Amino acid sequence: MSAASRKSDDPPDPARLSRLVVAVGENRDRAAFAELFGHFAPRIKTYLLKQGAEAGQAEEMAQEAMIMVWRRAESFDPAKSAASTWIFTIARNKRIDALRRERRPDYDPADPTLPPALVPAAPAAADRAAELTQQAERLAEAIRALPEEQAELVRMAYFEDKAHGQIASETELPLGTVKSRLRLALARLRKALNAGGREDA
Amino acid sequence: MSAAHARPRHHFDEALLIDYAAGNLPETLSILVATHLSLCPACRAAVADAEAVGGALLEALAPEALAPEALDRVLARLDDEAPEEDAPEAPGAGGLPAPLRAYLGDDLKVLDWQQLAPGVDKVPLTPLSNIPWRPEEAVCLVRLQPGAVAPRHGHTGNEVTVIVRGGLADGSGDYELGDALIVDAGVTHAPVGLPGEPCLCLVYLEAPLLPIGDDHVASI
Repeated sequence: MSAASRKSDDPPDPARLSRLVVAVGENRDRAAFAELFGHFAPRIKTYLLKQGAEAGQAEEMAQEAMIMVWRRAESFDPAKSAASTWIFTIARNKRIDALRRERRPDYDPADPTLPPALVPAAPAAADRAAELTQQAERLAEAIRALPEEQAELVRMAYFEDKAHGQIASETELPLGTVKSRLRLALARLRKALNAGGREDA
Repeated sequence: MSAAHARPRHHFDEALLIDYAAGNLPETLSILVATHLSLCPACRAAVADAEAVGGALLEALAPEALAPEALDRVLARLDDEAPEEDAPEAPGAGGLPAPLRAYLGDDLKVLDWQQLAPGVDKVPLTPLSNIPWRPEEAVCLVRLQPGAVAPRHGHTGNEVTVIVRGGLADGSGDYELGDALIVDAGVTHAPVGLPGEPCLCLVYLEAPLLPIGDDHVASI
């Protein structure tokens, strides 16, 4: 797969982004990496600026996050998540490490003590790629369609490092209201995510 | 674990799972969530969906240009040797889930158990990062022998518990493998170990406990 064959002004679709990460993981493909960099590094920088990083720090951290993408690309599983999801988790962990200076405990998907999830067998790669694209479109549409009162809390949770308890005290909304709005937002977005595809256990 | 692995019945609130997926929780509470996720496929699916939301939000952000030489700088660094990452602690005799093994290893016998009451003891966890936890916050692994009763206590902040082995009961119900139990400030309880193997549970305190005698006000 040649990463250079695409016209530079098309926005890369989710299936292509996924193939690019796989090309980096499997073939150490620098052209694929450069294309991922062009798409994601400026968005990671925006994310970090929103989270309170100084401009120079956001620049440096975005570059470091992309180096993590290079190093970890082999662990990316296109059947499990979209490239944007996987890269979001890398940017998030970079932020926790650099801005909060904390560890982020995570479960280990390879942990032998882990009980298996009840997920159906992964669809064929081609189906999955098409599904990812549709899923990304549905999700983006669902995010745009969130009622403003839910969208505002989602932005605070994802871009302002605010846990729901802190959102409640800053917005002076009752804790139960914050919880139920976030829950409702996630339910709508999960519905969009899972609409033509996977059933939850 | 066997196919008949019990699945947790008591879960974390989705708002807390969003906080975890968005990266808004302190290291302390994250250990509890990660431990529950290790034992709960349903909450793992919810966190995966909340991370997909994060991915879609990242996609939708307006790009902020990097310095013109940024790509070349990064390309030049790609072949640098990666800093060593801590190897995950391999499972051992203790059977603890990975997030706990990172803090405690997996040999319960060598841990520094402190007795709280007859049949009840605990080991405090300490941060893996260089940032100390707030002095009033604490995460402990607590062990309750079958029938042993933890001293009745009240809470000045939330107390969060995840069962790692065996089970316990308080007035609000029975809690078994993987179950999450959240006790609000102002409530008192005295958990008791269920029959069978000793109960191991991970406990996070947002604020100090209130030791209470039998003359408690609100009890569950």
